[in-house]
Amino acid sequence: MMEKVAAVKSMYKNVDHNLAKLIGLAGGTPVSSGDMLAIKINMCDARPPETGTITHPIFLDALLRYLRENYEDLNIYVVESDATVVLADEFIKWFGYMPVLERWGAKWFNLSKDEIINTEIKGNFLKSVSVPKILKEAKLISLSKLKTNSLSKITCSLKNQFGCLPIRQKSIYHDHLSEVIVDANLAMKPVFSIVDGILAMGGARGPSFGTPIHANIILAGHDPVAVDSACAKIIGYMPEKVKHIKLAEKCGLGSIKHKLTGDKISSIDFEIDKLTAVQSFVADKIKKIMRQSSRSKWKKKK
Amino acid sequence: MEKEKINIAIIGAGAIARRAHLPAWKTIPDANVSCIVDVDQNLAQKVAAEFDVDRTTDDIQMVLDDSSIEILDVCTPTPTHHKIMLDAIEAGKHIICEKPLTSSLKDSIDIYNKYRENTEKRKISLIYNWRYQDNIREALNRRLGKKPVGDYISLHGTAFSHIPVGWTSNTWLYHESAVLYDFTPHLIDAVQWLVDKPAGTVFAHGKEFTENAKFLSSAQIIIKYENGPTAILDTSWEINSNQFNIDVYGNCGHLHIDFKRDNFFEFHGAMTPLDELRCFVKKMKNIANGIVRKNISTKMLLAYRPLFNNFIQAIKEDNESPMPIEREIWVGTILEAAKISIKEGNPISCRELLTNVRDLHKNS
Repeated sequence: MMEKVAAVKSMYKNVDHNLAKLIGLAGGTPVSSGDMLAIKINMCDARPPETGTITHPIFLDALLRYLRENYEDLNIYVVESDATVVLADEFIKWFGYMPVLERWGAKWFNLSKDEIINTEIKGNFLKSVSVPKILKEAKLISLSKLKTNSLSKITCSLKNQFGCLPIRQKSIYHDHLSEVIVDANLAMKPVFSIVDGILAMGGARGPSFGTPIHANIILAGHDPVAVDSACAKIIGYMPEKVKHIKLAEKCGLGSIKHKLTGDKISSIDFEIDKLTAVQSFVADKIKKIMRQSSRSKWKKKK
Repeated sequence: MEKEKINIAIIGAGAIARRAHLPAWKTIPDANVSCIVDVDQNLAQKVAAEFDVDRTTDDIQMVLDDSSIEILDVCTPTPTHHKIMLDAIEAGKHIICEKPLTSSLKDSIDIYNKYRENTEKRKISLIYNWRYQDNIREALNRRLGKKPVGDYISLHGTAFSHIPVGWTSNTWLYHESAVLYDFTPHLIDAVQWLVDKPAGTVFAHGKEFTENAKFLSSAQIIIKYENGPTAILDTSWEINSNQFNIDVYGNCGHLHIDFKRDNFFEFHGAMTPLDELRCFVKKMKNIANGIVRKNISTKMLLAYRPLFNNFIQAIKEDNESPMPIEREIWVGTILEAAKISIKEGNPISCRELLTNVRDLHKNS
């Protein structure tokens, strides 16, 4: 049976109603009353929600409302980790999430500050993944963004778990990004994936400096590979051509084949200019090489 | 015979020390970094091992009392500068200090007065590395005396960067006037250097980052010089284009100074396609050079070396410091005026502000 992915057209102003509809179309969440939940938002850079870079607090608000109205006694944590350009404890305050958490009795949790449980996996690059303890105890819900990514083509549900790695200097994995995205999911697979594509991001400079795209769409599903495959198609890529999606399927994380239910999605221009994408990729590589060599320069002179 | 080296203590082992100061000192034959001081001894030891520094301590007094150490290089966060500078002046050290000197004009004047009361044979220099880059310094030294663009009409400066969360995980930068104290001092210093006279009035507008992050993340500052040009400075942590430029418009031409690429352009009269082509070729040559020399993204940091060299020369030959503290008072006055102007919405007279703060200081 093909995995079901639900897609619903929505704006932020009517997201409460549309999110409930979306979850219904996706077959409901695998949540039960009394569960402990970890909702992984995407706060990948110090860019306000209006830029399309991070999960919009209004979207988080809608999910928390849905969970509180449909289940009892949930122990809800909203989680993110520190990263090369992320100070998670600051961003959660700066970008307006705290009033949302307070409204729905959810708790903030910085994954970089948690106890680590080293988890052995049959990984593609990593043999063991540092898993924050909370993700061993809670059901993980991925609440990601619909965005292009200059390194991995798209960044939606699967890439969101890369952000669960507690190490701050995550950029050390950028040379093996697709492999590490899959490895992170092998150790921390979400039970449900929801994608905020209302204000999405296109262009070649995603996931932080791309073009805001008013795609006005939200997606959800139980299978992160299927959800990402649907997202890839919307952005304009064949899922089989996105390395981490292909690899995730190969590793048994889910299925590229899916059945899209819900609203009919008309074509959205995500402004993918291949030449600019290549230019951006090469520029990032050159910058990295330059940085490494300039830092080691004085050592050679000794 | 081996030249006698000057011993230096690095105060603060954070990002700027590791990325700019230590790599620069290590290339200067006359300099020997003999100690790293940091409250975080784990960090100090890690950095000392990376740069082959023998000693670390968390006790700054030990360094102040050590007569073998002649230079203190202050790389700590700005809020700590006031006390460290006063103690270092008292201890009779030469001091080189990261910009900005302080985040309040009163504190800067306090340090200046202490310096004047003590022996002036000791040198103090601030670090304004932007205008210490090879090409820019050479081009401007060669051309500025000749007034190639005539009388200045206006100067337009931009400092657009990413918010410094990737630079340091420290959060002290996100105080009320935040962006004013990051790259803006460089812009002000460069404008002051070009105009070379005290500012008249300052009018500024600022924007807070978000409703929940109430620190300045963007500001526009208009500096009016008496009987001189107007400078319009635009600085932001939200415009992530990494542009650090000053355009100087005169009645005989236009200078474009690109601090990020250490590049300098001069135009006269109407811009022609030939000018554009010349500019393009120069830019491409500069980028190619940066790639070959592997310094395309670190040019501004490389300027620490000539600055430190000049500081050592100034000590040895008793010359003026590369960036004397008097100039920092000019920069600090404009920053303070901008801060007040943003709050009050009025233009601020720099002369009156300086007089008021000096009076305040005398009375206290």
